[in-house]
Amino acid sequence: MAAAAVADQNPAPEQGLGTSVEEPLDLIRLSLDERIYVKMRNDRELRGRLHAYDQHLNMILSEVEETVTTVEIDEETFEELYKQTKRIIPMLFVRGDGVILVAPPMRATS
Amino acid sequence: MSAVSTVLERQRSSNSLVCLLQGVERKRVTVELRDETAIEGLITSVDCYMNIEMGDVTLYPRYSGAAPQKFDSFFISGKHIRYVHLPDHIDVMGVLQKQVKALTKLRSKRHEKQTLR
Repeated sequence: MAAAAVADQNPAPEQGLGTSVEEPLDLIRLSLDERIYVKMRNDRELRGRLHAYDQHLNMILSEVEETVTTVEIDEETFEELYKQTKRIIPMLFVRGDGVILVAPPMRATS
Repeated sequence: MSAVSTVLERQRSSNSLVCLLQGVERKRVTVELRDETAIEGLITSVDCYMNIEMGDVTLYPRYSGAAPQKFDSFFISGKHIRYVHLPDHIDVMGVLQKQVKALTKLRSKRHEKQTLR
């Protein structure tokens, strides 16, 4: 992952790639190779396995399920109808500037 | 990545996931833009700003009613990209390691040259 790429450049202390958390991005490192939830701009959500990320939050995800939420207004009652469209993408590169939040995998309970 | 990249550009690439996109040059991908346009084609080169040059391109406009258009070559400005659909069989770690190795090798070669002078 980019974490590996970065380590090549500035040989950081060896614990750098372990499990220690020193900056916010380190929390994402703990989710590597796990299924994560990503909220994107324009009412999009992604759920997929995280393979790699970098400091811009560019990410490589596999087995991704993308959910797009659109709002339609009922012409008679003016009710807002939320419509969700889902699709599956096997391997996806996500550009970081569209990312709003990254959440670690849901734990057992759900 | 293009042959005429500067040291700074190579450093930027090797520090970010852009180098993975450079690793899939000559492969077919689909790029989705922020305006919902999808572009399918063969990557010819990717620079450190994620600008992508493509060949043999089919452009699917955002309104599904509109007909796809074909282009022999195409340039995409990096900041308009939302997603890139990659071939699903690629070995992410393998490609990244190869790219970082290639990028840093170039740099150290140049460094040697400079110190010899």
